[in-house]
Amino acid sequence: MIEAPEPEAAVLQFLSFQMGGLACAVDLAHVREIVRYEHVTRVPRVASCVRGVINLRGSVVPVIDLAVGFGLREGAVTAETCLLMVDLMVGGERSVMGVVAESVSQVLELRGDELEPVPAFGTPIPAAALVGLARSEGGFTLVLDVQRLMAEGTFLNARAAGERAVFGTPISMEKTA
Amino acid sequence: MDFDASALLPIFVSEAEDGLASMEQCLVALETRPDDTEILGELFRAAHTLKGNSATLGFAAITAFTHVLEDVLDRVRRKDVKLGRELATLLLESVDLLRTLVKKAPAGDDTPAPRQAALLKALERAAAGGGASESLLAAPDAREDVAVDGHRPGTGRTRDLRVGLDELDRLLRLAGEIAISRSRIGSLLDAAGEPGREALEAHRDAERLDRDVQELVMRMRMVPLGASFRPHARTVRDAALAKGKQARLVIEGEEVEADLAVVEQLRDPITHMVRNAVDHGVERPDERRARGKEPVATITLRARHEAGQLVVEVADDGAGIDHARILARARERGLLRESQSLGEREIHELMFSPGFSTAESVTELSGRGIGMDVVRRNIASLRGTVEVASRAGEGTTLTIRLPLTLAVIPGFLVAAGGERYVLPLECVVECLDLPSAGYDSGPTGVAELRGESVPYLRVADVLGAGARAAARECLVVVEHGEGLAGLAVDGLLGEAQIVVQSLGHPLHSVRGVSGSTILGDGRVALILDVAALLSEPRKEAHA
Repeated sequence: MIEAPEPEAAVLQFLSFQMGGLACAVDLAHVREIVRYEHVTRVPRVASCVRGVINLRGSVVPVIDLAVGFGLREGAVTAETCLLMVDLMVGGERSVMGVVAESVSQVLELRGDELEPVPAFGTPIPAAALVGLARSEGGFTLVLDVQRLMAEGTFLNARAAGERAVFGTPISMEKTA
Repeated sequence: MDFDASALLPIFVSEAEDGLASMEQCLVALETRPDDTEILGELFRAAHTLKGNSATLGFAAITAFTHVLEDVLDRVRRKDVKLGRELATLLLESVDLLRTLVKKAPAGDDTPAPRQAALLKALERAAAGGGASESLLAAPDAREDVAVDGHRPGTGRTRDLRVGLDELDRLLRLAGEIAISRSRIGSLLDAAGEPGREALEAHRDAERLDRDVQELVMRMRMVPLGASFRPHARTVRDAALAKGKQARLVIEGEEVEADLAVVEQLRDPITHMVRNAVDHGVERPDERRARGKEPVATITLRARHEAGQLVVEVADDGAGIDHARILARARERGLLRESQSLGEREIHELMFSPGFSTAESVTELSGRGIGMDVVRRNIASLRGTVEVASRAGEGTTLTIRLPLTLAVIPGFLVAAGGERYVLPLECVVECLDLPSAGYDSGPTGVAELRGESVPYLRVADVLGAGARAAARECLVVVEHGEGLAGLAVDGLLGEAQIVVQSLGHPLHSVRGVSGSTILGDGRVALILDVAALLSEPRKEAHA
């Protein structure tokens, strides 16, 4: 890697992935590891964007499906489906969560000025959930503000209070048989 | 410093904290037994060790402070100065200050703590005043005789090892997981029949060893309650002083052991109960005299094992619970209708209602917005109960009953809606096949058990899990309040020792789920809170 000449041109790294049929990315600093999508134990009575919990080397960790949270189409689980294990502060406590990705694309290296500001509307994910847009060959990659999304961790327990919207988008609700 | 001090820091902090705790207990004990030279000697040694250790690591502020403290203690020991209430308070405040300094020092933070200068000056005055003997300050050798008893840092308890609770937790979890995967191997070998016979025998031998390991790990986590009880002597002292009362703490069953996690989580509820006993339980000295009691009240903190449970009692010899006052307060708070009359049990229950507090004025000690409702909730989260017994004029006893360990419970594994769930074995009464004909197939129903009707819930439906796979269902009969209730599931998977885990931050407090556990195949199963599931309100559901 070439040393950055100017501080504002520092290179930032993002992990790009497919989510709900969209090209998305998160700050690589938050991603602890990527694990294969295996059996997820369902947890009742939580927001439907919580797929459940998994065993991450002896710890029980929640799995979040942002596509459901944003009301996008939910991708079927394929051999490429994986979990980005993100390490965040939620309610003042460090916590690890799995974010469902339909597939992981690549590590994007962007200079700060290559990250374009989010337009006020028009993006398939509400602007408040994004830090910026990264231009790529096929179009735009949506760079998610994952820390901010998860910091409002109360939405994970939203089922009890009736489903609540995440960033203005209604969460589709599963039927309880 | 030419050696790696950073490795010593955690040891310094934990030893210093132990030393300060012991100093605090000595000071409180000396108030009732001012002439006990043994306690005084212990107090002195603790201060001296702290001074020595902090000097070794170059913590000048702690060293200087303890030096003056030691001077004061020396004068007390020589009976130049009397250890009155005022001096005891000063010394206890010094212990508090040292606690702050000990916390800050390893981080390189040597800014003075609040009141440090004032306290130091007060100590210096105490050390200088109250008698002659100018030489004391200049002759530190004079105290070596007491201080040196082989209890120097690093040489005292060489056969002990400090282990982080995290590691013990992990060890316990692993031991539990081994047990679970073993039981799976066992059932596979069992199913293999004749060819697996020898392997099954070898497996059973290994299983015994595993059980020993698990028991040993559990034992390692057991600590005597005494260490967590003793600081309450200070709680009693401070609470009594603030209320113009006189009280002392008596501890019984110091040697009774419980899981460290239980002991830690008991600390706050017990502190609250002890304060309550002083604030509301015991009478003022003049009232006590008028009733023919000793002016100094006794608060007893008592621990014992009983039927596989840990029992902790907080008892006072005060006036007993004033029923009239409780009823008046409950009416005032709208917890009770004017006309309603209650039995003794219900009156006691009122004290555990949210928003109930009989404190006439909000005090520094018990008026922090924590009530007995919070105490009960904390105890309930440890799967325990709190009961009250009271006799007018004789006192009140609060009894806490808890399981000895939180980490491992015997569980009963069931399958429902394509998931596996764990029910605590203690609530399972029996299992039977659920006849499919003639009953509702909604989320609830009624089954017949030996001529009695048993209402039941369909676990898969109630938890909104996947479609029911099995054509045949089983009914797990559980105790529910006074009677029985059932949980309909798709299959019974047997008993297993379950290592309890939380649901993973930030997914907490899901109603009907008390935690999770990792099964032998590495997957997570939820532990159901049977009582919560059965008692939640539901619509009359009929298919």
